[in-house]
Order: sequence, then structure tokens, then C-alpha cells
Amino acid sequence: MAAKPVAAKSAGDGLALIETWFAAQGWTPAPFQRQAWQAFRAGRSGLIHASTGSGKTLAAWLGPVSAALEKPARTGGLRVLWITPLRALASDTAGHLQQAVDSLGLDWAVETRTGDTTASVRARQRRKLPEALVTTPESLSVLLSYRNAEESFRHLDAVVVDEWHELLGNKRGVQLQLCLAWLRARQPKLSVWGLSATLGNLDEAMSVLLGEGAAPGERIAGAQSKPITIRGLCPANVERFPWAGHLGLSQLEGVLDYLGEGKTALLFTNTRSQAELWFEAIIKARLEWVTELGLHHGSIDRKVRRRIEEGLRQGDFRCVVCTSSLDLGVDFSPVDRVVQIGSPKGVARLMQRAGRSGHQPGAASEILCVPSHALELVEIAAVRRAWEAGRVEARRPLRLSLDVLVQHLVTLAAGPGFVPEQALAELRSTHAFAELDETLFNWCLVFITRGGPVLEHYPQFQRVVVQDGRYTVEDTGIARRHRLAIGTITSDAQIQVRFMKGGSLGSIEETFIARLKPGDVFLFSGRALELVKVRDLVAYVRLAKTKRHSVPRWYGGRLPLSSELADSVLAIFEEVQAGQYKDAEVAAIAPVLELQKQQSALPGRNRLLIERCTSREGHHLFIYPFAGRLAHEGLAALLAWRLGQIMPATFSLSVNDYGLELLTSTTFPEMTDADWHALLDPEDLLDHVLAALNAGELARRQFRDIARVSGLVFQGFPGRGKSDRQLQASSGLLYDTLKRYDPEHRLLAQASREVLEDQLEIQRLRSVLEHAAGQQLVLVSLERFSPLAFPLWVERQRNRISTEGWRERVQRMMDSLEKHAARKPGRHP
Amino acid sequence: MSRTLEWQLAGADVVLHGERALFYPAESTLLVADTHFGKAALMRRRGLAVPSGQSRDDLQRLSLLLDEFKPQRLIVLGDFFHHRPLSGEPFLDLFPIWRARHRAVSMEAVVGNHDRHAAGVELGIDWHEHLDLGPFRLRHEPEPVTGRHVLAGHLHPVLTLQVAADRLRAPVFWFRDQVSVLPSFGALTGGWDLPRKSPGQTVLVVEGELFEGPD
Repeated sequence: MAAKPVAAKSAGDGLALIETWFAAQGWTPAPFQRQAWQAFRAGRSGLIHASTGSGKTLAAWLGPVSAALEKPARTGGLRVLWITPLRALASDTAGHLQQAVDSLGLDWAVETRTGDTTASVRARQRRKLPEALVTTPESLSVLLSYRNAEESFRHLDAVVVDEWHELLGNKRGVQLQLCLAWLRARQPKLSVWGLSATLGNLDEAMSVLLGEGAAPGERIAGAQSKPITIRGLCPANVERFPWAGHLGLSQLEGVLDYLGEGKTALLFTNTRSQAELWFEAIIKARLEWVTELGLHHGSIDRKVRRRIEEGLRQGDFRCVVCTSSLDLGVDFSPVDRVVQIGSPKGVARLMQRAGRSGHQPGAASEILCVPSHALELVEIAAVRRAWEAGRVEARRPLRLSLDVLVQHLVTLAAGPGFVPEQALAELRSTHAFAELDETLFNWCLVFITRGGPVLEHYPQFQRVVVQDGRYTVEDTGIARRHRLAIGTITSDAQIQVRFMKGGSLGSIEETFIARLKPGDVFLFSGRALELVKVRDLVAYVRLAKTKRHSVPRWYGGRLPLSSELADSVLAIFEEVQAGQYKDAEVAAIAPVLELQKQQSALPGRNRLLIERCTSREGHHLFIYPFAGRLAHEGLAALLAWRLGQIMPATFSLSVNDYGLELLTSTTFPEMTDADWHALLDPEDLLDHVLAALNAGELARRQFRDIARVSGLVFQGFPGRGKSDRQLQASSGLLYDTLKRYDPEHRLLAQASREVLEDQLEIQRLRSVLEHAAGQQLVLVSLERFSPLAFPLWVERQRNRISTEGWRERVQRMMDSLEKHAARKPGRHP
Repeated sequence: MSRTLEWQLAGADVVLHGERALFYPAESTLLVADTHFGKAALMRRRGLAVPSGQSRDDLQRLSLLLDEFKPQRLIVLGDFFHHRPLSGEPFLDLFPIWRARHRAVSMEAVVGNHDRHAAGVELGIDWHEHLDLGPFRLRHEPEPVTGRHVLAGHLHPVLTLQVAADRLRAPVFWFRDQVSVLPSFGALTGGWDLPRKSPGQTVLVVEGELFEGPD
């Protein structure tokens, strides 16, 4: 953008200046950009949705800039707040925004404020903020926790929330809603604009952003998105194609050919361990590419990631293997190839990834999907169908997340303080807390001031104090610890990985490192590393000489298949059942699907398939609701529990995105259609699921995040001194403590609710059962496992879930470990 | 699996108990480690809303153990306190009453790193830097001593079992040739994961019952 500054003429027409500037660069503003600028100038708020790289940033940025161009002499202070979900994006974004205003001749400073900002810059920003600040929801919250917060935001005109779709459905989005409500209450004319990718619920996304009772916003659709081609990599020989579990590596040759044809490719995997394996496999197969290959995922050191992003922009790479870490962010224009390994899981997600290619003039976006087992070929065709029909997933905003609410209240108390009546009105102006009643709000006030409603249970507690009706934090130690805790909403216990000789490689979950001992070798950051020692949250490593290694298993790769995609898959199955093959990918696995048809049947949207089979292992029951693995987990436990009421038995359970398996040594009773419908009855679902699952144990685990966000536990930080470390306690112990001494604690109830809604997708489970009532049940007895059943059997070999009690469980684990030890002398489990 | 387990240690017969205690009949002594009294109170003072009640419960658990084994001595292997107790804390009210109830038992402790915060607090406990008992050296930190088998605390050892996707984390007694470590007794105390392939033998405590760990 090397342009001559357009001199800030006297108070002229800002938009005209911008038009001139565009023309001087040889550009023409897109209609949606003009529409957004005008809407902003008319004082409106709204949502701009478009694919990446279409000019959303300038559409949102130049509205406020045009206003400033007309009145350049106003006193300094923060005018525009730019929220980004990823701190890694902040400096790039700030750079772009700064470039635009410099080029327009506007004397504005654009700075960043994230967890990475140095202490000296933070101190300066506390005294005076720049005209525009690029920041994350957490850092914004930290800014509100300073005494002078009201002064800092006094001149604020606009807030832009970039990638709002990434925040909409999670607690960070709730935190941002709360911050926005606070800002809006102090600045009623504040304009709030969201930038979003395509979503199934754009209207809802906009109204959540603008808050309850806001003037209607303006929804602006970006330029027509460019065409996207989705292609599945069909294996040459489907008979020899593995069913599951090889992570798609058998297709390596086909992928290498594809990469060889292009200039720069992004290869997306669903998990970090899969990324490590693919990176290693590509290097082994193409040594000559070694300098042109990169690995990028959330655990890799930030500096290394930045280098790779920079290299991508320069076109230095032939291929970067990555995870969702590169889903977002600025465009890498040299990218001309995108590959997806494994199930796409959802329509919106795959489209976002596909959109990472084709930014060269005249180019189209294409994505090559590589199935990791045969049936994923159907998913690929199904995504294409759903996308063409405009069926994209929605992201549902959360409601009444009490942990975020109490954190926010302490934030405000640490900052300028708050008065309850006014605060309640502000909170209710958010979508998340529109239904906050006074009882619940009062519980929160009691929680932050006295610890809990039973005063005798919380002697000496003080966090927030009330003075003349105003809630404030007086203790500076409490305020300091609270600020540290705000910044850690999303982080789990992480261990730094460093070379002995210095040089950081990234960070890794503590739980993985804890299972290794010095001398063990693991694959990380694209290298085989030997663990030397662990000290103070740092794992010291050196390059390993041996080849044998383990790959870290990161959490978070358990995204379930979306219902939009599942429906689309079932629609294709219905066609196949009728003998039609319309997609190349589906035709490629015709032998598998025909085998399924011949041995059993294909499920459909109105046909629920239930298979039974007896093997040496026992009696198997397979059911295929296609509701995603989370809902299947709950359903499997529910069915096992209900069957257990009819026949006393212990079940082993196994689930995947398509269905579930129950295995038992007892023969299943003969069951009529009516019996099946009774088994699948939605009545008493909640009670039965709670009885079926060790719901307490699940809630105990879920409580970990809640305790951290609400400030019930303090994690402590490396190098922060002993006095803080003394405060650490595990959230599990705390959960037990609360359960025992304050069982009515609202955060315990929240943990149970989150388990049901997030971990078990109870709504989806309910709709499976409600749907089943009207579905045709297809009951099949099998001689041997059908193609649909086989992956479930494989899954069960990897995971073990069963309905046994804890005593049997411990005993069984011991026995299994003993057997293992006996079989391999000298080796431990 | 059971609530108690007879065990041989350095040639002596001892009894392990699922409430995370060790009884040494020959000297009529009950041993526990790392009670960390006052931890919740410190957390409350620093703004973490942790309810009280653990002190009462932990003392009750000790009472049950004393009633069960009827020892002459109760010895805490260090970190009796978590932090210096301040007046008004539940523990300071509860402990004297509890102590009076068990006045027949000699109440002793070796000094742990946390106890140094509480130096001079008078509760009717005899303090030792370390203590010899039969073949054992009782101390807080698990450092070996020539000629004696060390019984210590400090580590709060826990073991994680993993079979396929099933994980279970439990406090353990950790026995080695020269040094053995008791699990922490206090309810709010966390754990230090034994590294995989640690030498020695473990006994897991799950829901108050004891399980011999894998070799």
C-alpha cells in the first residue's frame, strides 16, 4: 500500500477523502464496504459477514476513520476498540489498520494490548490509551479492572469485533458481551460492529452482539463469495482401503502428488497428534522438500509459528501441516492448495479452511479432502451438498454462565466499583444474562462478598467489600491475583518444552509430560525428542537418536459431527438404498455400501438401523442415529442403564460419530418393535441419563474450568513466588469440599448443566429419541460385523467405557496392568 | 482391597489404613503425614471462596483412627499446619476441644517446611526435628538416612493408572528400600504424581479402601 498521503484537508467530507484514496490506489470500494461506511456514519451498529479476504476489515475500519478525518483535532484518547479472538492476530491486524490511517494522513496511533504486551507498554497504556487499540476479550476485561477504566473509555466511538463467529458460542463471547454492556452503559451512542464468517444463525449472532433492547442493527452481506470446489481423494483400490485408524496415511502418495503440482499448500488435520504424524511422514517420503515444509499447531512455540506465518506470506513453503491454528487470520495469498485430512466434521469449518486458498487474481478456492476411513468419503460428498444448499451450522450463544458473571463482577469491583441496581440493569442488557433474576444475582453478590450464603462456613473470607452501597476490591493482592486469573480463562496447565542448550519449542499439556520419564522419546514440533528432565514447568529435551517414539495425545480433538452434515450423509444413504450414486466419492466406495446393503441395510433420515450380532466376545448391539459422538455417549449409557433394568448385565460401550455399540456377555432378550420404542422413549430422559452416567464424576471434571473462571481456585504462575503457590488446590478437591459443605452452591449446578449441554449434547440426544418415535426401526441380525459396525469395534479396542462400579474398575485396571507387565517382562504400562 | 492392610516394612509389622494412616503396633504409634491444617482459612483470607469444615472433618477422621487403633502416640510427619493460624479461624477453636477428648494420647509432630510459618503456636503438641522409632527414622522430607528406614511425608504422592482411555488418579503409600512416604492426610491437599516406572511399591487409596499397586 505505497500511497501518497492524502493530506487531511480541513473538515471536509471524510468519505469523499476515502473514495479519493481508493481511486489513487487504483481500487474501487465494494458496494458492501460503502454500505458499511454509511451505516456507521448514520450511527448504526451491525454485522458484516463475508468470506475471508474480501475486504471486511476496511469495511469496518474506515467508517470511524472517515469521521475522524473530518474532525482531526479532537483531544486524544481511545476512539476505536478492535477485538480479535486470537492474540497472534493482533499485531498483524494493528499493522494493517495503522497502514491505512498513515496512508490517509490521519494522525492516529494503533497499538495492541494482549497477554504478550510488555509491562512498560502496559504501564504507558494505563496512563493513556492510543486512538485505536487491538485487543482480546480477556485483555479488554483486564482494562476494565483498573480504577481509571471509566476515564480510559470516555471518548470511545466504536467497537469492532473481528471473527465474532469464533466467540459467539463460548464463554469468551459471554465475557465480551459483559464488557460491551458496561461500555454501552457509559457511552450510549457507541457503535458496535461484528465481522463474521458464514453462520447458520447470523441474525441471532448480530442481536447477541448488539445486546438486548438495542436499536435494530444492520446486517451487511459481503461480496459474493468465490466458488469453492470440494473434492475427495478417492483411493485407487477400495478393497484394500483400511476401515479406520490409519489417520489417512495410506493415501500419502496421492497427497504428495497433489502437493507436488502446486506452489504452496496448507494441509489441515483434525488433531495436533495427526499433524505431527503427517509432517513426519511427508518429510520421510520427500527428503528434498525438507526446507519447504512447516508444522503449525497450537502447541508450537509462538515465535516459530510467527516465522511460519511470515514464510507463508512470502511463499517460502511448499506445504505447512497445521490444525485449527491456521483456520483464522489474515490471508496468505500464495496458498493455492488446501488439503483436509480426516472427517470435515462440519460444513462451516471445511468452508473456512477451503477459503484459505485461491487469493491469487482469478483463482478459485479448492479443497482436497482425504478420508481416513472409507465412510468419510460419503461425508465429503455430504459437505458439498450441504454447502450448495446453503445449510451451514449455527453457533448457539451461551446463557447464564455464572462463572463468567462472578468473574466480571469482581473485575468491575477491582476497577471503578459498581452499584448493584445499575449493574443488574447492565447485565440484563446482554443476551447471556437477559434472564438473570434477582435471586441469582444476589447469590453472586453474596458469593463475591461473603463466599456463600452460609456465613459460618466462610469465616475470614473477603474478596469484594461493600462501602456506601458500592462494591469494590480493597486488597491489592486480591486485585492482582484476579487480573492474572482473567488472562487465563482458556489456558490449561501447560509445560514449556525447551532444548537443554536453550531454545523454546512450544508448550504441551502437563498430563502428557507427567506420563513420561527421562529418556523417553516423543514426537513434538516435528522432531523426535528425548525428555531429559522437568523443572519448574519446563520440560528440557534434546534431539533423540532412536526412532521409536510416542506421539502426545492432546485433548480437544473430539469435535462431534454436526447435525447438518449428518443429515446430508443420511440423505445420500437414502439415495444409495434406492440404487443411486450421484457423487464420485460415494461411487468410489460402492462396494462397501453395497456390502452394507446386502448384509444389513443403510440407515436414513426416517430409518433407524439397529444391528445385532454374536461373536466370541459376546452379544453386540449396534445402533446408528448419526447424532455425533457426544450425544451417542449419553445414549449408549442411557440404553445400557435401561437394558440393565430389564436384564442384569454389565456392558462395554463404544461410540463414534455414526452410532454406538453395546457389548455384553448376557444374551439380549427378544424385543418387539414396541419394546424398542419403549427403550428409546424420551420420557424421563434427564433422570435416566443422570442415573446412567457417573454424572458426578463428569461434573467434577467440568468444574475445573468453572472454578478457574469464577476465581474459586488460583492456579499460580511460575516464578511468582511461594506465597501464591500456597494457595493452590485442585478443583477436584474443591468440588468435593463444596458438594459436602455447601451443596446448594450455584456453581455446582452449573457444572452439571454444562456436562449435560456441552459434553453430552442433551438437546441432540433428546431429539434423537423424539425422532425415533416416528422412525421406522430396521432390525437386522448379522452373521458378522457390517461395514458400519466394524469401526465401532475398532473404537472399542482403543477406548474402554463400561457400566461397572469403581471397585470393579480399579480391580480390572490393576489386572490389566499386571497382565501387561507379565507379558512384556521389564516393561511397564 | 480392604480398609486395612498388614504390611512388612524394614522387618517390622505395620498396618496401613484407608484413611491414609499407618499404625505401628510394636510401639503403639499411629502415623499420618501432611495434615495442612488451616489451608482453607488461608485461601479464604486471600479471596478464594472455600467453605470451612475440613478441619472439623479431618479431626473427626483422626478421632476414628484413634478409636480404632487405641495408640499411645499420634505422630504427624510434618506440615501439621499449612500456614500460621490467625485468631478466629475454626481450627483454633476446634483443636483444643479435640485435644482434650484425646488427652490420654501423646500428640507429637516432626517439623515440616510449612510448620515453620507457625513456630511458637501453642497447642499442646510435642515438636521434634526428627524422631527414631523401632527401625524407623521419622522425618518430614524423604531423604535417606544410613542405618534406618525413613518414614516421611512432604511429597503427597499420587499415582495415575491408565488403561486405554480409562484414567484413575489416587493417593498412594510409596515404599522403597530405604525411604517410605505416606499419602497426605489433609482433605484439601493436592498430589504429586509419581513418575511412571518409579522404583519401589505402591498401595493406592481409593474411596477409603486400599489396593496394592502394579509392580
